[in-house]
Amino acid sequence: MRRSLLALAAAATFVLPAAAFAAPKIGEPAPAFAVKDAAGEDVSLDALNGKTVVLEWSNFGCPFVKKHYGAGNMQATQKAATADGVVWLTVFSSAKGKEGYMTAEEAAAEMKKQGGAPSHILMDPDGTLGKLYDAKTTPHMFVIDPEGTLVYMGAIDDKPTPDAADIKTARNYVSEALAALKAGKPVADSNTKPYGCGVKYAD
Amino acid sequence: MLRIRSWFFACLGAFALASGHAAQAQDAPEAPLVSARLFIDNAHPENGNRWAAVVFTIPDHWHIYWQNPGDSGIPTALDWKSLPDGVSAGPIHWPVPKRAETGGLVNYGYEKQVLLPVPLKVEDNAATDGAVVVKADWLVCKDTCIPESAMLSARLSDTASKADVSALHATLEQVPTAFDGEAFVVADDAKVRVALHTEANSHADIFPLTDGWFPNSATPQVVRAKGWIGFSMPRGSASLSDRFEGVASVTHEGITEHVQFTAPRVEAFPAQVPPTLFPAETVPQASAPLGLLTALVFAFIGGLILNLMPCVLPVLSLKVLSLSRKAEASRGDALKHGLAYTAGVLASFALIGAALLALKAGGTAIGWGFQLQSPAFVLALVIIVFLVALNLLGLFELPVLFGGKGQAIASKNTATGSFATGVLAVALATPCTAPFMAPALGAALTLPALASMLVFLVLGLGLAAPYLLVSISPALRRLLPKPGAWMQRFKEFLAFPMFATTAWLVWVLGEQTGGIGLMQAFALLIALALALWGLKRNHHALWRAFWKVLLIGSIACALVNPPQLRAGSFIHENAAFDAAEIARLRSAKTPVFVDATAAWCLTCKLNERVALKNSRIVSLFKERNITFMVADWTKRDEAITAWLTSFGRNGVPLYVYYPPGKEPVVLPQLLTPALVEDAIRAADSN
Repeated sequence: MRRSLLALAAAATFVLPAAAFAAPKIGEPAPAFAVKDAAGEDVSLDALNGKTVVLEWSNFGCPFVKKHYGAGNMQATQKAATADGVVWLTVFSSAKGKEGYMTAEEAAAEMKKQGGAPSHILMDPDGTLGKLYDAKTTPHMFVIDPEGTLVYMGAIDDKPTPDAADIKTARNYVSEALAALKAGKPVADSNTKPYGCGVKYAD
Repeated sequence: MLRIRSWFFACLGAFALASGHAAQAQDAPEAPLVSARLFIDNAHPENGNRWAAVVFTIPDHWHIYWQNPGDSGIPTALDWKSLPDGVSAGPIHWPVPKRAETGGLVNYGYEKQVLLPVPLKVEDNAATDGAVVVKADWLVCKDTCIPESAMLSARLSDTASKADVSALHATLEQVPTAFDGEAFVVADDAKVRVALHTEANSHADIFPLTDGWFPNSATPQVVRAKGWIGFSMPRGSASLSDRFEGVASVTHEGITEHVQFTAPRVEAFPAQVPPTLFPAETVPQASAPLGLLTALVFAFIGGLILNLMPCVLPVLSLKVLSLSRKAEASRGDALKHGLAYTAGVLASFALIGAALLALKAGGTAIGWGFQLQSPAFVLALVIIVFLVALNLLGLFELPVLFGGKGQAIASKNTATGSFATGVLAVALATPCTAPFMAPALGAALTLPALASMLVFLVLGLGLAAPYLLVSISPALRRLLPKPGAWMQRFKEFLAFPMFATTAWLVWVLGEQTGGIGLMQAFALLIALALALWGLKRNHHALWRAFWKVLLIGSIACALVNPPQLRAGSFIHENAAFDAAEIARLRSAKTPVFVDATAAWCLTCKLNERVALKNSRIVSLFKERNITFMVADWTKRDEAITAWLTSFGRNGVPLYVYYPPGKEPVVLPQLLTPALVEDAIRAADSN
């Protein structure tokens, strides 16, 4: 009895501060945020309640992002999702002076050139949003259901290579998660190890 | 990647042609940053198997990745495209990686140069001159990442260069071996704890193969208890499974071993894992163990200061004074005494050091001062000190020790006498732990045996140094007061500090063994005094025989049948030490002050009287609601020893203050009320 109380007390001392940090956890409410997008519009997770939200961490200098954008894979996934009413947020968390850093205008122009179709582009040069979600790689994907619960976090697909030829035979985890949500089924493989270049946070 | 590049450039070329620009030759793809080379070592086949290795040479500040790249990156991969018939390739034997950290993300990989060895199984009928072709793929990163690859080939019959072979063997030393001990992992929402049945009295590190159970950026906290080491990390974001695989690097007695282990996940650690391994709160290593050089310096200074402690000073002053008579005498004579004394001191420290190391190797949790944890030793000390006191008073003459018959001091000193005085000095020194000694001794027991012994010997050197110096330098000897009648009186006077030491030791014995032990000690002392008086007064042969029997008999009886330790706590105040209780109080944000002490520790008693029982400090503790917890180390206690070890110490006293919500603060060895007050106020407001 005493031991479990101790364990509870010990756990409490760590869970409580963890709640303060709001590290993302599958099945729990996704960490809330309210920022402005590249066009100056307000974007907040609370306001998006009732919609499925996808967060995509990106960096156009990273070979793994180039793999998916170069082959049109990310754009196709974005288009299919947004056509279904999903809100797609592409986040750039590269710090100033690091690879992938862009101004809002540059980001919008580059995304247009790539033929991408996210609902909003979020510029995060101080890494706040990235650290809030513990985003580690580019790409790193998160899917949030209409109730605000995190249902998927991890890689874009199951072939962690820089080779575009692998996309054809890979399972696209994000498409699968969105399909499962649409069908009212639980998301299988909800927590996968993301792959890519490290997010270029400030030192 | 090569294909996309060549496609891209082909496109560019076509566009250039179409737009009418002069067609230049296409740009060839740039040379990869990392150069890769394959070699096969044919000269040392084992059961027909050979090693193949790919050597990666990486430009400075760039790195390639381990089989678990960490937070980002891709593992280096080898794909054997072509092998001769009868030859098969095994898995990569990954050498232990290094951590690389950028912007809060941590990766596991290699810099500058790394060999990845692969065992080739060669059947008897294999074509020995066949070609081996491997495609190596890797990601090389600095601020940016570049995926690269190379197609490498070699012939099975090639001879590898000497440099390559020695590089291969050096690399194989860095490849983890399968761990053959027990391993367990306990993981919950807050923490992941891994326990391994192995020893590491120095450095230990863990690299995950099962990624994500704990953040790669977390620094593993290392804990140790009887034959086990543990790693404690906060929980990461990956889902848990039924087992955790990882690589551990453990350094024990100066030798580093790398092992790969699989730890099944359990709800709670089974009984063979010592409960002291993970106290409810893992105490961080508040002080990094000292390096050898620093430990030696501290040990020497500690030894010097020990001369000033009340335990040692009487013996030392007598010994030094005995030299004053030799001021005009031959230098060689004084030097002989100096060296004999030093030899006695060093020999005693060597003995204690060896005993400590032997006990530690046997897994017993002991530390400095362990001799005094045994009542038999305390009783032996009582006898010795009491005899010395009686000798000083003149009740009996021991020409060997301090002086000849009827002489003031030291006319018939022999080298043996000086040696014995050295041993006595060490025996008396133990209860007085001087500042500087504690960290030096803590470090000593984490170093390899030879280095450890060196620390003990340097400590002895520090203790012997003042006397040795005086014995060497006639100038110093001339400074000593000239001998005279006063010396006899001074010698008799010094008997009384010795009696005081006897009284204190008897008190300690009483604390350890209770009333019965006390009575035994008193009876023994009376018998000794009586026997010696009898021998002095009586010249009748029969009486002398009787007194001698009484003397030797009582000593023998006492040592053969020493008083036993009594059960229960020896220090009857405040809260008793309990690691779980500390954790409970910490989570309730209550400050805790832990006083590690022992009944036989003179420095501890001094500190308690001077600082900790001071009214100002008592009211400060009351005002801040500080729980005062006493860790009583009078007799062996594994939990307390483990707690001491976690602070890099292995003796008492140790004073640790746990401010609410912050890291614990270690106070110095010698306390004053002001020091304690300042430390507590500083820790609370930090």
